[in-house]
Amino acid sequence: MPFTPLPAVPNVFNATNMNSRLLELENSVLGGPATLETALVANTTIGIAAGTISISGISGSYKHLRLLLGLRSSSALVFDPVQIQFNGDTGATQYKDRIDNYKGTGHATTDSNANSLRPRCPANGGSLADTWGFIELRLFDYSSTTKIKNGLMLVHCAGDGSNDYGAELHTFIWNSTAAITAIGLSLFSGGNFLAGSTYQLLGTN
Amino acid sequence: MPTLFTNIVDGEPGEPDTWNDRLDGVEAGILAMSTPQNMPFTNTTVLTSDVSSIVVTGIPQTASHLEILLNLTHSYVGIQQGYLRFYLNSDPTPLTNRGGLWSGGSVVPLTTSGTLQVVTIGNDASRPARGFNRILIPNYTDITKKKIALNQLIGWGNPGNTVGGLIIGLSPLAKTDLITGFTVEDATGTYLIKAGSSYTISGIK
Repeated sequence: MPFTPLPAVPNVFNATNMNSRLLELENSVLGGPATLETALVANTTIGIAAGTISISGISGSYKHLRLLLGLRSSSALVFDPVQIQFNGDTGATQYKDRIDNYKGTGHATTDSNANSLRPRCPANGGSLADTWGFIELRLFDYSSTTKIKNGLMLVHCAGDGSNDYGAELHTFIWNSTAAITAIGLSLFSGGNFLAGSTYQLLGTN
Repeated sequence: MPTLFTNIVDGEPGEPDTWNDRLDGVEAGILAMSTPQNMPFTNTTVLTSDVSSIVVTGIPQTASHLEILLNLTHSYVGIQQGYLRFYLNSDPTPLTNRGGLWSGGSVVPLTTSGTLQVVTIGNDASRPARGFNRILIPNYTDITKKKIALNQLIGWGNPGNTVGGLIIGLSPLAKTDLITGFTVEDATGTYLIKAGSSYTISGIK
């Protein structure tokens, strides 16, 4: 419920007006802040190249999560898969992902059954300098302790300017009913996320 | 009878302060606290007349990412979807396309450069739908990064012409310019964007 400014009363100080005004204001304050449709949980720009990004202590007070990643890898590849794991779970087949991949040379649908989700980001081996990948990850009902977790990813991975860059759609599950409290990122190549990489984590009610 | 004061002077020199002024200040504080932190601005415009183009300028530079929702009908009398071109700032150079569309039940990878397409629906009373496009522009104020756009879209004319999918684009000449506006238009000048169409511009922190 968004906060609504109170109606003005005549600019006259008397007991009736002031009581009325203060009572309305008091009710607004006692009602607490408006229920936020979304709230910013984290907002970080990496200042120094780093091999991992860790987000921990995620509150369970939201319904869903939305993670926005702007990443580029230091590796000599054109693309570099970003390994995403929840709660530090490195189980060999815990992450099941259906990937719809579009690139200049065609379209493919693949299944991944691995120890992490692996959307791609551009890397330093590509011919497009200063181009950063973007991953939008949505996690549904992430704090449930009774449901297997599922989510979606939308990925832009620009590696070079000719054929070899594209887009990915992911639908995935993490095969666990544990509430998600931490998200870890690393690069499949073992390289670093370049300085200037960003992430924002939003909670949605 | 309550005591009556018409003004309580308690403000800056030369600037009378009143009880209502002070309460207004408190209200403004509460309002600021209750504004979603992740969305510094959001604005929706509904077209009240048919137009040949949508031109937006002066987008605030106060967020990390830009999200544009387009919900458009064009003037073609019929039920088929159509395409309009979308470009950033006032640069009509087409965005370079990559990605894919599902169209008529098959996947059509986009392998050539061209206009970043947004989808619309023809103006047919029996199918009162509109094309829907969600365009994300990450890091739109960061002049160290080349600009990209992700367009997730769905248009539905009839079952044989349903189109959906994901198109990504690199900004013209892979520029690092900050993004202050965009234009949507029919490049052929044949069709208008119909009244009732709408667009929403939101900043994501």
